[in-house]
Amino acid sequence: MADPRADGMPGPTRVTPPTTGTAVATGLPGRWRADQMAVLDYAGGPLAVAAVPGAGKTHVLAGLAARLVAEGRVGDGAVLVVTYMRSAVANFRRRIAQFLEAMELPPDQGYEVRTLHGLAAGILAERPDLSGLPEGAAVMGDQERRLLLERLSRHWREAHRSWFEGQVTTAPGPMRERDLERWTREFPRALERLVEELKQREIAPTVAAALAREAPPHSLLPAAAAVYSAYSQHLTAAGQVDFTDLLLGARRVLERDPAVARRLRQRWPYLFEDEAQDANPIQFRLLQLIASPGGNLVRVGDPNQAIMGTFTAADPRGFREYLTDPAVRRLTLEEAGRSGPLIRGVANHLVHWVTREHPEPAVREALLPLQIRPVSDGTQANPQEERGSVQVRLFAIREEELAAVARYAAAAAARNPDQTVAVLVPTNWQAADLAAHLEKLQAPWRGLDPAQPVRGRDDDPAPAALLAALAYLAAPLGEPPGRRRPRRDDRWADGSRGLARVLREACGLALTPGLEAALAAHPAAAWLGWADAAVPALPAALPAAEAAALTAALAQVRGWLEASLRPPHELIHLLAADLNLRGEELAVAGYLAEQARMIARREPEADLAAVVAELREWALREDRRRFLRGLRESEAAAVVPGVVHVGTYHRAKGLEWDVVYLAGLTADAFPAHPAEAIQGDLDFLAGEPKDPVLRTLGELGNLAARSLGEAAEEVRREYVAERLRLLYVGITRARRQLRLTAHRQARGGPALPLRVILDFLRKGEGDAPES
Amino acid sequence: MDAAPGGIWIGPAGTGKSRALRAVVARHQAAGGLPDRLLILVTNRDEAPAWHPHRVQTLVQWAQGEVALGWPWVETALPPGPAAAAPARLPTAVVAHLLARHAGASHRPGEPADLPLPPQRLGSLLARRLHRGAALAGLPEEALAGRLRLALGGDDAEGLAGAVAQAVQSVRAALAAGRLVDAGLAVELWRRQLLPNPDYRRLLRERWDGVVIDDLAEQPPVVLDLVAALRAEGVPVWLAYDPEGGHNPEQGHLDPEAAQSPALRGLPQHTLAPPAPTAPATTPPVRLTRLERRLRGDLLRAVADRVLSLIEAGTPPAEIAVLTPLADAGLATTLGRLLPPALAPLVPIPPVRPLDQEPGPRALLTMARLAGAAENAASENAASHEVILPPGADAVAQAVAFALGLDPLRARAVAAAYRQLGRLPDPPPDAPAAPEIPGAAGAPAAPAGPAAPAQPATSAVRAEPTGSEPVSTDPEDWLARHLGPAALHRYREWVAFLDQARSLPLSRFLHQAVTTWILPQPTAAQQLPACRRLVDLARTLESPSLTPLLGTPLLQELLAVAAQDYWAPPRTAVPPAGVWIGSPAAFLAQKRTVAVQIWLDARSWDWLSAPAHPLANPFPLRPTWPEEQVWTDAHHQEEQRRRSRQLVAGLLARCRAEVVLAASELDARGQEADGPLMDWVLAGWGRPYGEEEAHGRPQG
Repeated sequence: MADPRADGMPGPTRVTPPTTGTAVATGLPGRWRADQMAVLDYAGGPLAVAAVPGAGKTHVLAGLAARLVAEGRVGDGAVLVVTYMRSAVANFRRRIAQFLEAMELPPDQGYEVRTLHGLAAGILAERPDLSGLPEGAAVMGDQERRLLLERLSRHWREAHRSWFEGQVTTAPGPMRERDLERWTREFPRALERLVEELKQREIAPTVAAALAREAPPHSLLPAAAAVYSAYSQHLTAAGQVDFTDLLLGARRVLERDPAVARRLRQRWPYLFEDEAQDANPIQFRLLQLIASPGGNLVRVGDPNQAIMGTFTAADPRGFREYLTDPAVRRLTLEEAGRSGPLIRGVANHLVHWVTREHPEPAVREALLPLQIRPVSDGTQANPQEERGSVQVRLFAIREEELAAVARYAAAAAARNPDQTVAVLVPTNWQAADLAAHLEKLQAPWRGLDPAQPVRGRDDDPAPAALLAALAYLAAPLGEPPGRRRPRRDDRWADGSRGLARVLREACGLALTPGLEAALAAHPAAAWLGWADAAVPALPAALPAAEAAALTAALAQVRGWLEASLRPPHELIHLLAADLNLRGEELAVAGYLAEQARMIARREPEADLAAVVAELREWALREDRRRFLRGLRESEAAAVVPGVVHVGTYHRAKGLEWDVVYLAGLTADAFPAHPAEAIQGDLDFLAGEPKDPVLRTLGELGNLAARSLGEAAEEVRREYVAERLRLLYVGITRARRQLRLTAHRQARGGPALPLRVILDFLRKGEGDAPES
Repeated sequence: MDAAPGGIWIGPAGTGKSRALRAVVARHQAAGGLPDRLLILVTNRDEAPAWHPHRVQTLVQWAQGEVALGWPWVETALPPGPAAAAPARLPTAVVAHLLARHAGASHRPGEPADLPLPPQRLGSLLARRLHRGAALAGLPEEALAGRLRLALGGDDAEGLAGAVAQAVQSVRAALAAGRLVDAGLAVELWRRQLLPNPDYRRLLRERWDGVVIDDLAEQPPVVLDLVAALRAEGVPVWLAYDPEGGHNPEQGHLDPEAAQSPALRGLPQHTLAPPAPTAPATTPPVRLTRLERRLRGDLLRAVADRVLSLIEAGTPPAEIAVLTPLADAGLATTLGRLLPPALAPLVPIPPVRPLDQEPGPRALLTMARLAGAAENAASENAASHEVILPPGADAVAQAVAFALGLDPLRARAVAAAYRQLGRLPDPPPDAPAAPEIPGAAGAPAAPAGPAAPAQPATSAVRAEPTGSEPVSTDPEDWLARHLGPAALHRYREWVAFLDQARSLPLSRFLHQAVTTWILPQPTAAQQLPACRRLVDLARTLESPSLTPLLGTPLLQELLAVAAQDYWAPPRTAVPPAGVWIGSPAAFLAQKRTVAVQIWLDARSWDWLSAPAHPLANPFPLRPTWPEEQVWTDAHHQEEQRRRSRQLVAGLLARCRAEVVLAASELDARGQEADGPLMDWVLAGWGRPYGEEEAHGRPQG
């Protein structure tokens, strides 16, 4: 085995401070390692801290903030800590408060913790006039944005059907139908990503349209430019902005009036950025503008954990460049107490192999040669080596692999109820499959996605009653006959069918067959008192309590109908109050009301039926979960012993478990070469490359005056690099046991890095594979 | 009348300044002075009952009247145009529409770069803030572009300022040429043409025994020109001035330094002090308490619970105010549902919706769109025949429900058929005499017009299913099946009306629609003023003077104008007693004091609304703004903080016992709510605080 520690660390300064232990000089409680003390000694100026997984960077950053506050260095201002996740905000606040309290200082003074979007929104709220954004604009959430883009994509697709279908090269037949279906599904995602990229690059819609005219024949750019233009118009008409607008607007404020930045600098004399490897160029620029060149900007991150580039505009190169900027002081935190020796060895070997031996030289920069070292001074105890701490298993097919991993993980959790267990997979749908296996086994499990349901918990607050009521109110008499095939027994078309349904689904009335028959005997208008005769008598046999409930529910429905011609958002508020919604369900209802208001602003002629259709689409899809995730992200992710945690590699970032299963380590998920087929490829499409997202990104890269081939190659190379970092993230989640699995059926078989790890284990301390 | 040459009462809110002015008025009356010999200017028409039997006006209203009065003098200075005995009054919404058209047309994408505003917002901004704001500030028209440049700053300022100022000047000139005067132009003409005129000033002297101006700090700067002119003519003026006032700079208000203005120099001053804080038994300090939840929906519930617990503890509902900058109908609906009406009646938020959202005008506009009347009405002016977009199904349902008095089920039946056909379904000529659904005779709002046929005797029991035969797929059959004969008859008449009246000019079509369909509806009476307003707007747009400024079809123009016309329904003389809910500014304008204020959404940035959009920043528009002084971040910060302190001080001055700071971590859209107001207030702006701790008023 090559000694990974022989790798020199280019760039970051190695610091060997003389003392270790309690930070006596600062008064900070607790014991600190030597490398941490070097960070805690920070006094000012630009600083970059590269930290390996488990090095305690949050702890150090919180300690540093507390130290600066305690020493009175912030004056009347505050240390500003910027994060990218809401969960990190709560974590930072708690830690800094603990330090300050331990030093007998007020726990809530001298620092602020914000997400970057919160920071941008705050800057805009202070100076909307300089942002170039609509005054008082509402922020369009991700899910709303996605729905709008999807609808615009659909319109474009329908208007360009021949072009759209012409992209699928499959011969007519069932296969073509299947491919068309997949292309239809993937098309809006590709456009969404491309529109985001256009915005990030600050390419105006008119410029995008001009560029699209130069695009190659199979390019998505014309579609993206058209959708981008329509999207921008919709935002303006509705007086809305999206998150990218927020960042661009805030940056514009700071660029236009340097006095704003000066004032912010007085307010926040120290600016800390956590997870700096996930910043995109606009975000970094924003922080630079606040801190000013040479200012007190501390960026902390792990360049080897930059895994957001494919899904977002995050640019891992930004932090790497900051690390090597000669004007920036650099420190590293390479000691980590998280993992046992062999797990560390596997992670370090992956770094060594990638940086020295990867067959694709251009990919060797995917990882920085940072080495994870055990804690050397006893301030923290690394887990001891256990027999079989790292194992590799190969299976024939995917289903077999997932079933087996679910079985093993469930058994591990049952066997060691005091230990934490996780299974990580590359995609959400694999996570769902795995969860289904665990359900079958009746094993306790928990989704890493906060919006994923947790077994045994009523955790899926789709406001079903609200949606049922809205659907009824939009068409209380059902659709007119011409819209549907007439039924032989159309006796319900007078509205009593819908009335029965809304009584059951919204009002929660238990309709017995007898009661239902009674309802069917009269038209809805009669029951609701809109007939000239008296309201029909209820069956005599109906118990008094049920009769009273029915009467009350009918009065409620009547009230709803009378309100149904009010603006939809008012109607939703009214229903939410009447239905006594609470907590997240009420929050979802409130959000639906906001959505309805925006739809009405955007499309004044949209009737309640159209609004309800859009809201139902939203509520029944993953978007609702995204909204919930946003609500819940401020709750710290809890890792519970004895429960199998299931999620994607991406979702696992920042977490750790005693036992970690890394599944799905196949070549199409973790390719070694840019030319290899990958999971996102749509082989049936005309043009190259086959992944529409990567292709469009490549086409955009081409805008920078390079050839399309070069740009596409670079995009795919970066994709390969990111997947290597993703594997690194997965490996470094494990404390005591690491299990790596793959199946042979996948395109390309097991991933090359997995084979490399296998060789490493065979040659040295690892276990032989069992297959 | 007092022999003294007027006077100025100076003091914070609640010290009796207005009372002192009313005493002046009472003395005038007691001395035999006629009410119409006193000019009384206020800032809020809601105050009229307090001054009864005297008539009160806002400065803008008064200036409009003055321009009409002195029209012969004014007209001589105007460009040539049609002779008019008096100017035609133009609603601000029309001016907003015209300005949006002109500014939008002069704006080229990319340069100037910053007009990302929906047309309605742009129009409103330019008409209500810039055009009127500049007039109220007394800014000469030729200085407009320069001041805009100062307000905008940045590289784009030159082009944008020039384009916008040009749009304002063009529209003003066109209006003047057409003898059309809106509020902004009236103030401008009054200041420029009348005020310097010696004959007019003599008229001022002869007409008034004296002038009373309440809330001087809330009056626009041009009021000082009036005061100066009156004093120069020897007319006594009595003023009330709050140095901490000026809550609404967007509408124009005086600088804090106004007291030093030459116009006020030499006026006898009466300084009024707040009640001495040495009497804790009678004026206990205001308590600050916190009410926090993570989600906004839960916060609203918690607020409702707090209101109920206050009432149960003996606080009268009228002593509680829920204040939020996000006050809207949705909030009112939610709180209204959460609070039992018998226990906690809620004073409804005055509707701030535009005219096209009022039920009556909305129904009329839908009818006009259905009839296509506007296309004919505009045909004389039509340069091109644009297509009028058909209304949506909900609009049709609303129009049917409103105009025909149908219940929601029948209205939805029509709308469903409309959605099916993409047009109104023709009613079958031979409607069944014995319908399955009972007729509309007993429907709540059934019309009693002469055209309504005799109501057939029907049974509420549905007809038996028609065996195995499927029902007809024809939407017209569907309509007959659901409407019943009486409603079907009226529907048929209504469709015929739309068909017949389509050849009428737009305003006549609307007028006939009102008289034929709205007037007979007993439940529609309260919508009649709004309907009349719409008819008036249509008539205004048909004015030949406006023709060159408008596009076609006329209905499109009317739709755009109605969408900008924030029309306020006539208010009841005595507001209902109950828990008051509304914005902080609206609360302060009411000049009422309550025991408990609940500051809802205290972490919302909307509590700190920016002073103004740069296109209508009131500060650089003032004549007192230093030449070449660009509006900067420092100005903005200073002003924002000043206003926030002022708001807090104003609200606390109007609170007797407790302020509840209610905030949620996440707002209604799930975004972080981290506005600073709550922290500022809790930090006491210089005073210590503690949760549930007694707290004094912040230091201004």
